[in-house]
This record gives sequence, structure tokens and C-alpha cells, in this order.
Amino acid sequence: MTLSELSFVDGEDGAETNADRAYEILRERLVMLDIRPGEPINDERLAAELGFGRTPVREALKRLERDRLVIAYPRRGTFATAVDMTDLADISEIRKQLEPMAAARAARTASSESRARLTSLAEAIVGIDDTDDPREVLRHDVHVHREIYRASGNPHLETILVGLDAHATRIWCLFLDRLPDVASHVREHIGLLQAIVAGDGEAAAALTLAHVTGFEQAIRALL
Amino acid sequence: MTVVGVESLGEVDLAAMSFADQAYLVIQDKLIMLDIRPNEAIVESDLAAQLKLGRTPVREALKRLESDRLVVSFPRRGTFATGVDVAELRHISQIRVNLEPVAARAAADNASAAMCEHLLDLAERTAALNIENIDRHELMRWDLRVHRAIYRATGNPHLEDVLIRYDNLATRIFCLFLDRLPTVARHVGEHTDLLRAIAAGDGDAAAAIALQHVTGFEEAIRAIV
Repeated sequence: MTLSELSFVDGEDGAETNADRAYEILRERLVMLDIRPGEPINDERLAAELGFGRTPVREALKRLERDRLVIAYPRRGTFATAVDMTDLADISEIRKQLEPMAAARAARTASSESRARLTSLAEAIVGIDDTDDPREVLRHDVHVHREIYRASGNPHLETILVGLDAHATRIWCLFLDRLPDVASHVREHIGLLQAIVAGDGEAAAALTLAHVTGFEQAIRALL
Repeated sequence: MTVVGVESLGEVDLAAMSFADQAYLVIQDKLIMLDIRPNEAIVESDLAAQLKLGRTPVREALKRLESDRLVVSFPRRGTFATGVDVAELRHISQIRVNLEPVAARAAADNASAAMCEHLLDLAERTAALNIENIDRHELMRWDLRVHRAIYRATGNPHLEDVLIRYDNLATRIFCLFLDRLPTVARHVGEHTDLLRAIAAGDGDAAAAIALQHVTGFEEAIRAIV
């Protein structure tokens, strides 16, 4: 599973353009730090490597700039943005408000198809082992979050939270070597998913708030 | 005092911006102020001719407005201003009800002395507005400007990004019902108190006023749809 398969631009209507594909590929590389914070990005080289023209790559980079994942300086070029610890506080401030609301709404309004998907995600997470590749474990985490955002039934909320989760995941990736507990963090989602499927909005909101707060504390403890 | 001198597109120097940024701001203003109505078709070449800009910057602007959810494009059908319905109003309100009070509190906690002075100046100018006689669109632009100053004062660029986007969407809905809303003057007047509470560093009061402001907006619109 890759982030691009979990894309918000799901291409169900066959409308996905090369620019969309370039966006998803680059976004995943930036989020998973395959492109390191501060690293220069050469659109020509990327276009050649991805087999796209320069126009879709440039369009993708513009979009990533608005996501604050890259930054362009006139005459100097485009770079992956730094991962700054003030981002952690800024992002957490928003996520603490919106993540519990999304979970509670998902618990109250998710369709039966959506609940079935959340159930199978919970089952998949049970199988995560402490020895699994932490990057793969994080991908599960991204997937769970996205399904919950989608289940909230508010497309605006989904877009905002997908964008913030990208920044949170970058911070995770930066500390991955020093966080021994990624698997157990992701397994925390089992209870959350069960609460949503059971329709318990209050429990879902409380568990989500604890999860977002716990993430911030775990990172702060390393600083 | 009138709102002449309120730059309609905020405090920006259009000439210093790229063509794509210029196109973005001008088209955004047209969408919010309903020069382009919800669901209206947008023809890139017409818009480029009208703005005296090339098609490339206009296309880039439309892509950006699409991620702001002000326009939507369908393959083989074209680009349109997004529609507005009751579900949309509810979705936007859910976000603003949660985040506007957080922003007001953050601004009260974090604004620098210079920023507080700027906010107080905006408060005085808002209080002095002759609201009954100002062109409604100019009033809405003033509203946008006040909100933006508060978002900037939060010192949280991620929060600022999100709230600008949702303030734009909410203001567009506001414009749709402007003729039928009796409470526009009060709505704008509420900003004076909000700005003063933030400048005074009173986070609790600022958050409470912001919540009231957003809730009041939704209720006023729901009452007439």
C-alpha cells in the first residue's frame, strides 16, 4: 500500500491527470522523507525520472507549495520545507479541535460500507508486530486516519485533516529511529475504530484527543 | 469615514505580484462577491481576455481556486463556480465553529505589541464605519480584511491557511443572502468588540465573541433558507 493508493484524488472517474499523479508521488516522498527536509528539488530531473513533462511536475510543485511541503525562492529554486518544531505545536493546536470532531461525526454518521471498511482496518492493525518495518506501520496509520476523515462525511474536514496529517507524519518519520513505540501507537487505533463502528461518538472523540495529545508528548519527550 | 482606501483585495500591491497571483486574487474576489455566481460556467479564455492576462496564469489561478473549493472542474465539461447548498453551509460552519474561537484566543495570547496596535486601529475604523451607507460589497471586503488580520495575529500559519479558505467560502454564502439579511450591520459591528478583546489580551472574551459571531452567522442564514 502506498500513500498514492490512498489518495484524496481517487481517480474513480478517470479524471486523474499526470499533474495529479506527479503530485501524489512527490507528496508521498516528501511525507515519508524520501526527499529530506531542506533538500533541493529539480523539476527537470524529476520530470525525466517520472516520465512526465515539466508542466505537470511544475503544477504538482505549486500544489505542494500551498500544502507547505515545498517552498520556492525566486532565482534559488524549490526546496522541501524544513520540519520545524513550531509546526508540531501549530498543527497540534488545529488537530486537537478537528480530529475528535471528525471521529465523533464518523461514529454518528458513517454508512454501513464505511463501517465495514473501518472494521477490516481494525483487523489489519491487530496483525501489526513490533518488529514490522516502522515505515509500513506508519502507512497503516495514515490509512486509518484517512478512512476516519472520509467517514466523517464532511469533505472540507477531510481535506484539512489530510493536509495536517501529512505534516504530522513527516514529524513521525523524522523521529522514527528514536521512537521505539510506533507499532503500539498505531495499535491504539483498534479501540478507536471499534468505538466508531459501534457508533459511540463520545468515546471516539476522547480516544482521538488522547491519541493526538499523546503524539505531541511523545515527540516533545525526545527534544 | 468611508471604506475608500480599503484595498479591495487586501493589503497587496498587485503590480508587484506574478500574473498568476494577480489572476488568483482578482478571480477569487469575483467568486466571493458573486460577479461569478455559484454553478456558473467559467471560460478560461474569456476570463483571460477580461483580465488582460494570458491563459497560463488564469489556468494556474483556477487550479488554485479549485483546491480552495471555489471552483470545480469536470473532465470534458469544463470549469464552474462551486454550488452552495445547505449541506455545504453546515460543513463549513462545523469547521469555523471549532477553529474561529481557537484563532481568537491564539491571537489574544500571541499578538505582538505592534500587531495589537494594528488590531486596535482596525477596531476604531470598524466602529467609525457608516455601515448603513456603505456599498455592501465594500463592507464584505472590510469583513474579510478584519478576519485576515486576526488570523495573521495567531502566529500559526497552518491555522491562518485554513481559516482564510473557510472565511472566503463563508463570505461567499453571506453575499448570496446579503439583501435578505437584516443583521449585516450588527455582524460587522461585532468585530469591534472582538478586535478590542484580542488587543487587550483577553483570550476568554475573544474566544466567546468569535464563537458567538460564527454561530450567529449560521443562524441568520438558516433562518432565511
